[in-house]
Amino acid sequence: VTKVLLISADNVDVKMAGPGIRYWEMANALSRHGFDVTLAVPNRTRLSSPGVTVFTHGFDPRKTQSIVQASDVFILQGYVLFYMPFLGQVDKPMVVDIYGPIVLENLENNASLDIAERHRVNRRDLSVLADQLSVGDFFVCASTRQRDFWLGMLTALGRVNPATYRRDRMLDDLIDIVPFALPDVRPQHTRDVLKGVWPGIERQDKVLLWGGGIWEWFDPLTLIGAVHRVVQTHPSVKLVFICKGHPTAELNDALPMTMYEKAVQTSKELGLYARHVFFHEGWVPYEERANYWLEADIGVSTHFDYVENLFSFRTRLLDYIWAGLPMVVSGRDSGSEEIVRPYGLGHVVAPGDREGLARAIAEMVETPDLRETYRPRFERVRAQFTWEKAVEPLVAFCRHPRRAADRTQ
Amino acid sequence: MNGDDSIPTVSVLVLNCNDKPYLSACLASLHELDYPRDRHEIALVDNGSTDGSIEHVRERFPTVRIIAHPQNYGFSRGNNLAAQQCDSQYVVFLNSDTRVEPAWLSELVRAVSSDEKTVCAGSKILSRDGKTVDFVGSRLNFYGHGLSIDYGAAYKPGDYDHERLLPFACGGSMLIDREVFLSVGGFDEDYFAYFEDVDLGWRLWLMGYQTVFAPRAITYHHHHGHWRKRPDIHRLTLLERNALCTIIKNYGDENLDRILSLALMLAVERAVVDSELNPDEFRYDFQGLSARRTRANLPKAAFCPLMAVDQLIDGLPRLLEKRRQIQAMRRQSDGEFWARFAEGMLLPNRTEPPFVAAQSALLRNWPLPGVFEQRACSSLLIICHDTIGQKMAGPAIRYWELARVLSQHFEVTLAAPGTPARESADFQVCGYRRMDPDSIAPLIERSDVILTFAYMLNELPILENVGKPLILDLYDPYVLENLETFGALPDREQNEKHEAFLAALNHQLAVGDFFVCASERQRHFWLGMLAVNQRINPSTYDHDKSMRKLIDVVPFGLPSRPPRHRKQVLKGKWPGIAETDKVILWGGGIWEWFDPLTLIRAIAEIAPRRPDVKLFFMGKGHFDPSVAPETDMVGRAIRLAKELGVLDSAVFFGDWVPYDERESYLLEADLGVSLHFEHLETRFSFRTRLLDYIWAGLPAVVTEGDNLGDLLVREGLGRRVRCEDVDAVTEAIVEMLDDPNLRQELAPGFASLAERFRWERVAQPIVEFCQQPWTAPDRPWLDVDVTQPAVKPPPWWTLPAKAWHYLRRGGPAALWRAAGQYLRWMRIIRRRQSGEGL
Repeated sequence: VTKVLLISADNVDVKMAGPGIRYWEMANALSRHGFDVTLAVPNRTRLSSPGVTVFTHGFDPRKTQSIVQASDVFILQGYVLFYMPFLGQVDKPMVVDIYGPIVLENLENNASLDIAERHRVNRRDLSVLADQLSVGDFFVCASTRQRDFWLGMLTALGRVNPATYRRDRMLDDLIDIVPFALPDVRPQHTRDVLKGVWPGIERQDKVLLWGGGIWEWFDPLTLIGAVHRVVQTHPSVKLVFICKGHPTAELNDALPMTMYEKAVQTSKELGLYARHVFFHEGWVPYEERANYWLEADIGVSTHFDYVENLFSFRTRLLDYIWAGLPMVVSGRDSGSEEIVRPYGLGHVVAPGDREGLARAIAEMVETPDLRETYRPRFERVRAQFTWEKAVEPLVAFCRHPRRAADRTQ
Repeated sequence: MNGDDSIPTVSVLVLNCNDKPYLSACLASLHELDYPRDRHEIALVDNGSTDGSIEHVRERFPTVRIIAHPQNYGFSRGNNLAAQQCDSQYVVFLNSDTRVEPAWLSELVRAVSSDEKTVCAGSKILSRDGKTVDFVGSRLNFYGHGLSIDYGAAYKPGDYDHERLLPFACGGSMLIDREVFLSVGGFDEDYFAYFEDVDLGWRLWLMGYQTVFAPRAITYHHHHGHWRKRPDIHRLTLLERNALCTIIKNYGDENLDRILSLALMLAVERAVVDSELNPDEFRYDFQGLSARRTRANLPKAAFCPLMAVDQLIDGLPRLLEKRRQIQAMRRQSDGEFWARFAEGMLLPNRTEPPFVAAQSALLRNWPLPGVFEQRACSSLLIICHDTIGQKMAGPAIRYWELARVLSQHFEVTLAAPGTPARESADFQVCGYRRMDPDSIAPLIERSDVILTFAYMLNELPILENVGKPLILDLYDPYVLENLETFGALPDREQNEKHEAFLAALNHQLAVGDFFVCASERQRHFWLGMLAVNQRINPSTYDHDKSMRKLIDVVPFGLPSRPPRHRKQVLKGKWPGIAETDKVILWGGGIWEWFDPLTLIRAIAEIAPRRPDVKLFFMGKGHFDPSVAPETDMVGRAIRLAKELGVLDSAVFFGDWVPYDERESYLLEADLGVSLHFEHLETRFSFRTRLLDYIWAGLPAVVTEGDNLGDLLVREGLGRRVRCEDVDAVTEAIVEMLDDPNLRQELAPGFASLAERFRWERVAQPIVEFCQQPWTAPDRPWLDVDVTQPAVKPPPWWTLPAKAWHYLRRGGPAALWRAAGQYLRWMRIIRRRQSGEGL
C-alpha cells in the first residue's frame, strides 16, 4: 500500500478554516481510496479518524524529515515549503497544492502601506510562489481558471518545457484540479433566528443573506442601492449582513472609511438602516450558522471587478451551495463563472450593475417556492462536488507516484 | 586634417589642470589609437596649469596641439572654449587622469554613425586596473541627480557589453557632434563642476537628439582625487545646486512647479538628516516645551543643500533665461523623455532610511505630475510580422482589419515585411525588411503609439526604447505551440530553442506598456506569465485594479458586412465535386496540432455509401513557406487519403485560397470542421477558421476543448466530438448533412454571435488605449531594489556588531550619537509610514 503523507500549514481541529478543512477531507477521502494516509498538522488536534494517522509537525524540520522519509509520496500546501524549504530537496515525489494566488490577494490587503513597502511585499510573495512552482513534481489547484493562471506561471518559470510536455501533452500530469467539495453532513435547522425573531424582520419577509466579512474588495454599496430600488415595489425584501463585528460609529476623519463603515453609512443615507438593511454585529456561533443560512431566501455576494476575484472561489458561495440557497452574485470570479452560472444556481450579474442586481433580486423574490425550484440543481452540484471525486487526480498520482519529467536526475 | 572624407574628423580634447604626473600615460595611450592619423587630432586643453604641464607635453608629445587657457575656467567653460576652437566633425572630452584602449576612438565614432539623431556616445570607464566599474551606464532621478550604474562593482571583460541608449554620458570620456554641441549651448558654464554632463544629456534628448553607450570604447580612470583635497562642502553644494539648476532648466511648464516643490522638500530633508539633530527637539507638544536644550555642534555638510538654494536665488535671472531658451527649442515632451528612462526616476540619491522614507511619503501624497501622461495618439503604427497581400493568413488578416477599424479614429500606418501587394483607401501600407531596424525606424519616428506582435521585439529591440507607448499583441500562446512545432527535433536542440524562446517571451512581457490577447482564457494564462515577470504589482494594480489596463482581450473579429458569394468555386467547379454534392470544408491550414487524419478516416467510411459527400481542405501549410514551412501533417494527410483511396475522389486538397475569395468557399460549403489533437495548445488557441464559419453561418463539427468551439456548441451551432473519435465524427457528419434546413434554422444564432465578433467591437480596448495612451506605471520600479527593506532601520540583532564598530571607531561618544540616531530614525520611519505626521 502506498504511504501518502499530507502536510497542512493550517491547523486541523474541531474548529478550522478553509485550508484546514481541505486537508482533513483530502486525507479522509484518500484513505477511503485505500491508501495508508498520514496527516501532519501544525497543532495538537482533538480530531481523529479511523483511516488517518494524525501527526503534529509543529513546523519542526527534524520531526517532519522523519515522517517524510517514511512516506512514498507527500502532498503539501505550498506555504509549508516557505517554512521548511528543505522539503524541496527531498528525493520523493512531491505534490504541491497551490490554491490561492497570494501574489494577487496581497495587492488589496496591503493597499494602505507605503508604495515601496508594497512593492517589496509583492516581490517577496512572488519569490515564495516561484520557489513552490520550481520544486513540485505534481501540482493541484482549485479550479480550471486557476489552472490556466498557474500554467502561465509554470510556463514563465520554465516548468512547461519539452520534457514535461513530452510526458503529457495536456500537462494534466504536471498540474490538475482538486476543487473544494461539500461536507457530507447536511445543514440542520434547530431554531428560528431571523424571521419573526429579529426586530424588523417578519415571518413572511424575503431575506437576502450576506454571509461573510465585508472586506475592501467587496461591493456592498451597489447591492444596497439595488435593494433601495427593489423595496419600492417589494417592501418585504430585507438584506442581512452576517459579518464579523467591526468597530462602528467611530468615524475617525483622519482614517479612510472601511467598506463596512461605508455600507452602514450608505444604508443610513438611503433610509434603509434597520428597516431593510440589517447588520449582525459580533460572531454567529459556528453551530448556529446553519439556522441563518436555512432561514434566508437568497444568498448574495457582490464585489468589484478586481483582478484578485478572477481566480477566487469564495467560501461564502460554498456555504450557500451547502445550504441550497439560490443566489444573486457578481460575476467574473471563478466561483460564479464556474459553478453558479453553469449549474444555474441563481443569477450572475456584472460587477457594479445596480439595475441588473435589482432586476435579478425582484425576479427571484417573485418566484414562488424558490428553494424548491432550485433544489434539483443543488442536488446535481452536491453529487458532483464530493471529496471522493475531488481527490481523483491525487489518487491517480499516488497510485503511480513519480518525479516530474524535468526533475529527474 | 585631410585623408578619406568618408571617415569623420575628430578632436580629442584632454582637459588638464596641474595634472602633469598623469598626462604621459594618457597621451601615450592616445598615440596608440587605431583611428586614422590624418582624421583626428589630439589637443591638450590646459586650464591655467602652473606645474609645467604645457612644457612637459611640448617636449614629450610634440604633435599634440595645445589650447591654453589663461586660468582655470573649470570643466564646462574650459571644454566649451576648446570645442569652439576646433573645426572637426566630432569632439571628444577626456579627463587627463585616464588612459584609453586603442579601439576607444573608433568605437565611439562607430556608435554615433548609426543614425542622424545619435550625436553623443559615452565610453565604458573602468578603474585603473580594469577590475571595477566606473561608468557603464547612467540613471537619472526625477529631481535631477545623475547616478552611475553599478559604480564600484567587480568587472570582467564582456560585462555590460550591450549597446543602449543613455540619459547622459559621463563627461570624463565622451564623444559628441561638435556643431550640435555648440548649437545646444555646450556644457553649462555656471555649473563649474558636477552634473554638467547630466544637464547636457537631458538637453540633447529634449532637442530631439540621443546619446548611446559605446561598450567597446574603454577608458581606464586613475582617480587623482583633486576634489578629495578640497573640503567636501564645495562638492556637496555644487551637486545640490546643479541638480536644482538642471530641473529648473529642463522640465516643461506643466511639470516644473510640482517637481521643484518636491525637489526642494527633499533637499531640506537631506539637510535635516545630515544635521544629525533630533527632530523631536523641535516639536512643540502639549507637554510643554522640549525639556532638553542641547548645544548644537552642526556639521557644515548639513548646510550644503540650503546654501545651494541660496546660490540659486542669486543666479535666478540667468537661470530662467537659459530655461526660456531651452524650452523654446524643445522637440520632445517630458513624458517622452521619462518614458525611456523611467527606470531611474524614483531612485533616491541618498540611502539614509529617514530620507528614503521621506521620499516615498512625499510621492505617496503628491504623485509625480503628468510625466507619464502621453499625448493622445494621432498616428498609430501597426507592425505586422506576416505577409500582407492578396493572400493573407490569420495574423495578417488581424492586423489588416485592426488597421481598418483604428483608421476610423486615428491616422494609421500598417507596416509589413517585404513589399505589401495590397493597398487601402483608409490607411497607409508600408513595407520593411525583416531583421533590418533601419528600414522601419522612420515609421517608428513619426508615430505616437506602436502596436505589434509581441515577438517582433526580438527583431526590433529598438522598440523598447523609443519612449512611445507600446501595445504588444499576444493573440497566440506561441510558446506552447512551439512545444508541438519543435517536437520532432533532437532533445538538446529542442530544449535550447524552447529556452531561448521563453527568455525572449519573458523579456517581452517585462517591457510592454499594454497587452492584448485573444480570449479570456488566454488572459488568465498571460496573467500568470505576467505575474512571474513582476508586472502584477502595486503600481499596475493602482492603475487599474481589474488589470484590464495591463492586459485586455481583443479576439479575432469579423467584417461588419455579410460574406458575398462572388463566383462559383467548388460545386460544379472543382474537378470531382458535382453541383449536387455535399461539401465539408476544412477552413484553414493543416498545422501540426490539427487532426485531419480522423476526418479522412471518417470520410473513407462514409464515401462508399454516400458518394455525394466531399471533403475539401482550403489550405495546406502557409502559402508563403518563408513564414512557416509546410508541416509534416500535410504529407501525412495526403498519404492517408491516398492509402484509403479517397484522394481526389472524396477528399480534395486546395491550394491556399485568396483572402477575398474565401467567402465564396464558405458559402458553398454545407458543413465546417475543426478537429485537433489533445494538447495544451488547444486550451488557449483561438481558431479563426471557426470565426469564418460563424460569419458564413456554417454549422460545424468540432473537437471539444477549444474556446471558440465550446462557444459554438453552447450556442447550439456546432456538434462536439471527442478527440480522435472516428465514429463520432462519422455520425455527426452524416446527421448534420442530412438535415436539409440546418443552415436556415441556425442562421439567427449565427447572426447574433457574428455581431459580438465584429472587428469594430472587438478592437475597442485598443481604440480606448490610443485615445489616452499611457506608459507602464510600474517601469520606474523595475530597477529600484526593493528586496532590501530600504525604509527600515537595521534589525535589532545587527545592533551589537554595529555598537562595537562605533565604539572602536569613535569611542563612547560616537556610540552614544549612533544609538540616539537609531532611535530617532525608528520614530521617524514609523511616523512616515503611518502617514500620521505633524
